[in-house]
Amino acid sequence: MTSQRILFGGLAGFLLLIGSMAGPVDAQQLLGPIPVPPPPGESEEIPGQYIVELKPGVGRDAFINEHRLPAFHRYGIINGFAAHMSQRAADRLATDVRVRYVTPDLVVHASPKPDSPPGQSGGGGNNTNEGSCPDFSDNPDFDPVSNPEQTQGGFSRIGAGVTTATGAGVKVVVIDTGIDFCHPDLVANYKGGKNLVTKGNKPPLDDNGHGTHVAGIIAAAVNGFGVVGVAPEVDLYAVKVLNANGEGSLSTVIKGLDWAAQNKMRVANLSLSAIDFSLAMGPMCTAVANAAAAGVTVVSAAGNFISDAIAFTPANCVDSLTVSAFADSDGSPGALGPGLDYDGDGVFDENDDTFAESFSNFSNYCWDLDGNGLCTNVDTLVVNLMAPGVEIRSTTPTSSFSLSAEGVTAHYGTLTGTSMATPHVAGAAALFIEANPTADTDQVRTALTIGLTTGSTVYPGGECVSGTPGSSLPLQCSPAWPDDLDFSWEPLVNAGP
Amino acid sequence: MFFRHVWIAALATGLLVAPACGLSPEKDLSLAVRAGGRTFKSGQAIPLELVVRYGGKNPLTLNFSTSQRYDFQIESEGKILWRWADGRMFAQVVGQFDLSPGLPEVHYRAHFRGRLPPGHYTARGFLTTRSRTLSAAIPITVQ
Repeated sequence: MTSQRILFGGLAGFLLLIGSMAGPVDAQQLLGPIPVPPPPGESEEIPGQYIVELKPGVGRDAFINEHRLPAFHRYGIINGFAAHMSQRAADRLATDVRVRYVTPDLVVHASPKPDSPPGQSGGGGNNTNEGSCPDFSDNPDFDPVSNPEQTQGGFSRIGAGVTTATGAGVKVVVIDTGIDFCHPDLVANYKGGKNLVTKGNKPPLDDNGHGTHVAGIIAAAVNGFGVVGVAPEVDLYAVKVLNANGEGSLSTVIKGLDWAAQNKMRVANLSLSAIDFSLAMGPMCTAVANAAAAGVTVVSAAGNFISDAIAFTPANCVDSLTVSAFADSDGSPGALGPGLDYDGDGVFDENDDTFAESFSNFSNYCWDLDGNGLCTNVDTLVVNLMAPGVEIRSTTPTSSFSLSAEGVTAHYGTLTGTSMATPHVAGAAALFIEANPTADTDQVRTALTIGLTTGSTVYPGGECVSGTPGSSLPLQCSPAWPDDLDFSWEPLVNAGP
Repeated sequence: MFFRHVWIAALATGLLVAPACGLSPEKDLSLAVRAGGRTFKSGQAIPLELVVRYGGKNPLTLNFSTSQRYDFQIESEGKILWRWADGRMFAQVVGQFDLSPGLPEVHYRAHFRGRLPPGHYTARGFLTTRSRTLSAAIPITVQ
């Protein structure tokens, strides 16, 4: 109880400061009436929408019928559902002894669809055939001569290049903004998916660009052009839970995990995050735990707020393999590569404080419980691994997408974030699973974080702050702050022999 | 002692995400919040709009830590009653966009659809840039 109070006390302080961080700069007066409703494509709150998690053993459907609740999601991954109800009804429901949690939810409405490639229509559900794709044979971006295949530093850094594993046959789902499944670097590996955002049983086409980039880091094929994914022969699936703005709701992401478990995915990539003060006790973490129990290795982004990851979900879920980001410019440890021009202005200055071989200047980190500025075993194990996440080149959509308005180029582009670190680990997990198909999620986690010998194959781990290659010291967390870095640490995720 | 360490750790974290000190405000950048009116009936949807205006001659790049660009909240006597971003997931990718004379204004919209008891409130909009969070606010009344 004491420790619980401490946790809540600490978080209250954190919340207090989050709440006070915004300083008004220019509070102007009303500029006049604005139209209602918002323009098409805006995310919009639905009145009175809640996620209800029931205690184990309580019959979900009977409970819904008893309360006559209009449930729109009935989960398998948690004993619960999402339903419309008034706040008063939700408050009343929360007092039912059979209820574990009632959590407010927000839903993302259908976003404007991009111009679909010619011939691409329909699909959805568990389709593996999403319609015909455009002919890109004359496009120089997909030509081995004009755009020869490049492996990224992260590919080398995690050891993907020295293993014979390719992730073949391992089901990996990207729960994100969707995937451009017509992209020539992804089309061979794409097997299907589900769109949980756009109404009308549409295929999970990416209208933002984020999900396609994440997918490429995991699964871009070996084909002579473009980029190569960490696990270039996985069976790639997409569940669209984020809209064109890269936003989504808790309930939809939980539904995405539900889909992953039901469809027997082995790895789920969650390059997304929401602020969460439930201390990992909310329905998101129940869903992650149940997905893990069902055999899905859930890999989550630590988040980009230079904060303790404990306050962000699903990063804070015990059963999530949570990933911070570091900068790597040469695919090798030792800080020997060139610095990274973070803002792309051609000059290294105070804006480029993420240089080669450093903890990124945006990433969340472990919960520094003892306040000593270092992540050690006495701190909470919120963050499990680090992986490359700065200026990562990968696939981007071939049709219109939101990130193009922010300068991201079509077909291939560079993005930065813990979103980009996460799929490196998801891909590494797929490599391990291919070689160890009966491994459970605990074994996958152990293999990637501690190092594991199975048969003749050794999977060395890495160190949090310092150590030697292949050490069996647990890599349980990332450095609390870049100043604490010891640049001698070695491959952080290593799936190679 | 243990408790104090935890508390200090939490405070340190908060400071890290707080506005950077010593930065001069972007003098040509201004924010405004509109609410489609000043007085609403309890339970009535309240449309909120954050207007970001830029009057500078050179492009201004706004950097963001995630796919989140803005936020709204309803406050009463300093207490946050509702926040748009709560329960919402965002892609964890660093992003940016430029404001310039050719694109001097950006609008973000959302709705508050909860039920507030009659009283006076503050509707606040945020631009969640990476270096610091900027905000503007207006008073609203619920009858």
